[in-house]
Order: sequence, then structure tokens, then C-alpha cells
Amino acid sequence: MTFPRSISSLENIFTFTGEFVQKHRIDGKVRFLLDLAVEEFFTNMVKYNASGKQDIELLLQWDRHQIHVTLVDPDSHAFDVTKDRKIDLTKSLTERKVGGLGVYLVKKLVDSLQYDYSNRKSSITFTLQLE
Amino acid sequence: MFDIRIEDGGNVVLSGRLDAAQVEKAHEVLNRVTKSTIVDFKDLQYISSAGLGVLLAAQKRLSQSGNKLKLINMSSHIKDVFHYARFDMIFEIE
Repeated sequence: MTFPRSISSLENIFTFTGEFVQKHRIDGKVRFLLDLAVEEFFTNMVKYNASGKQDIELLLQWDRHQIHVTLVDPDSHAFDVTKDRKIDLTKSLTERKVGGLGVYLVKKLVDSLQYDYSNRKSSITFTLQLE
Repeated sequence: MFDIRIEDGGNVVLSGRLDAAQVEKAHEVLNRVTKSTIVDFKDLQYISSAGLGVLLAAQKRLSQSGNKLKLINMSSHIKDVFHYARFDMIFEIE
């Protein structure tokens, strides 16, 4: 399924993930993490490649033990989400920022994460173990 | 569907899903808060980093006048997000 490069696509994205989890009877924490990871990666693609012309593709696959999720930006600069970026979570309230926090959180919470880039196409794939 | 309202007693009540498409709505209501306030998460099912950002901005603004937000009734999934983001060091969570 493809979605326009806009934050307003989130409503349709969550309808899509909602149908997927309902079909496969996925609930609880995995459902929450699926939406969180998809939102963080999708909004990253929108924010940091706003000039991209093509829609972003979202693929959801299920097997008995885990779900596999892939987001594909077909026209983008490379941005390897698996690389560690400095984010200081110990700063005081006045110094805290949320930039980079979404991807940091998702990296902590998904079970595997892979990034591929070739011919201007970025692909992010992650898995979540089923409970 | 996301909703945010200020109850008669002054508590802020969140419900539904606070994602990046809803942060303006949340920001608009939280901007009306000028004193220490309880934010009730009882009916909030989902929050992303965009939602955390709105709460962080409100906490920063309120702290300048010696006030703060206290967050109550979080689901375990949302509590995990706050924990991993170390936002449990920034907010009082009950």
C-alpha cells in the first residue's frame, strides 16, 4: 500500500495497520509498537525528504512468530536509521529536546532493524516478535 | 480519533490517539494551562514522540513560573515509552 508524503496520511496508515492487526488477531503491546514504529519512520521520511515526489510504500507481512514491516521511500537521500546518533536523555528539563527521540525509541523497542539504500531508494525493515 | 479537554476542576483529560497529526490540537489546549495541573491519560490509547514533544513544551513553559504537569492513569504501553525516553525523570507520573 502506498501513502502520500504527508503527516495527514497517518489516519489512513493507521486504518491500514488496524485492519492488519485485526485480521491476524494481534493485540496489546505489539499493536502499539507497530503503530509507533511505522509513525516514527514515516514522519521521518516526510520531514527529512519533503521535496520527494513519490508516495511512500508500507508493506506488512505476518508469520506465526513475528511481523515484518517495510517502509520504502523511492526517491530519497541516504539516512541510515540503524546508525547510532547522539541523544542525551539525562539533560535537565530546560535542555531536553525531542529531535531524534522517535527513532531512538523505536530502535529500543523493535526486535530487528535493517536499512538499505540503492539508486535513491531507502528501505527500512523491522520485525516485532508476536507475544 | 484524539480529544483533549479541560474539565471543570482544571484537570486536562486526554483520550484516543495522540500522533503527529494531532499535536496542534493538543498544543492549543495545553497552552491554556497556566498553573500546576493533572493530566489524565486514562482514555489515551497511543502516543508517539510528537505527543511527547507537546507535553515537554508545556512542562518547560510551566516550569518557568514554578508550575508543572502531573501525569496520571497511564497504560503500561505508554508508561514504557515514557520510561525509555527518560521522560519519567521530567514528569511526575502516578
